[in-house]
Amino acid sequence: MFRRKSQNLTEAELIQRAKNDASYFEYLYEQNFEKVYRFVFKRLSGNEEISGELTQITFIKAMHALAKYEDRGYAFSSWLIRIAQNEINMYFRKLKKNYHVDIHENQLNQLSVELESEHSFTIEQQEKLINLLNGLPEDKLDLIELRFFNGLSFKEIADIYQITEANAKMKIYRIIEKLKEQV
Amino acid sequence: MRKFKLNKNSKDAKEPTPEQMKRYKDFATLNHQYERLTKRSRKRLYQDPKFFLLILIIGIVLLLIFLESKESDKDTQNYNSIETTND
Repeated sequence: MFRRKSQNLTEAELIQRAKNDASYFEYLYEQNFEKVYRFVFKRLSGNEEISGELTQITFIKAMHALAKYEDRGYAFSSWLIRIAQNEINMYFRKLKKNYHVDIHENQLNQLSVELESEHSFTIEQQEKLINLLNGLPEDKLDLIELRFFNGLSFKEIADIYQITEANAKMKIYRIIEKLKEQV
Repeated sequence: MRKFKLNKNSKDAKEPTPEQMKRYKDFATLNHQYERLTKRSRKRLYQDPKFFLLILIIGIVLLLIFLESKESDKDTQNYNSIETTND
């Protein structure tokens, strides 16, 4: 009954209704859960349990903040990913010891292509690049991670930060330029 | 803090399986947690045993103070009446 009721509604209409009636939020949850969970899971290198917890917290916070949500033409999932990203960063900050995030060869190769390396990196170069990444400030590292390790498009990144695509591209390439000088 | 580490065992990052996602997808629990966090307790204050005990203790203390002050009033009245008869 509920499904039939919400099937004909657009995302914007669902959000409007969910602002007044929390039961409509279920449909938004159903639509976006996998995307958010997948995002958190990858950022935590496959820690299933904590990914589940952080995804739930993301949706609770989204439910709470929904009244303030303004539709500015960006996908609703981008807003959720932004909340998830803040939750992940908060989780890392709260930890007393370092949380090791795995980087895989293919992910690193994508970055090395951008760094205009003609040959794939040697192990030493890979280690050096990882050290450089570990020294980057959180906001810059987030951008690199979203683009090269999570494989998001510039448009998706722009939606998350609510900036233009050109601006997202510029921010990422500025970081790439700095990394190029140091590698 | 997060630190990146090169994983040499596999070339690609792990993806969650549909079973893993299904395990954590639960709107009923989410809704329950949300309600618990945001909605105020519907239990009335006087139904709270701790609050009830506090009110009872305050009541007993006030009663004791009242009885004590009545007792001392009586004593002063008695003292005054003894003094006037002596005069």
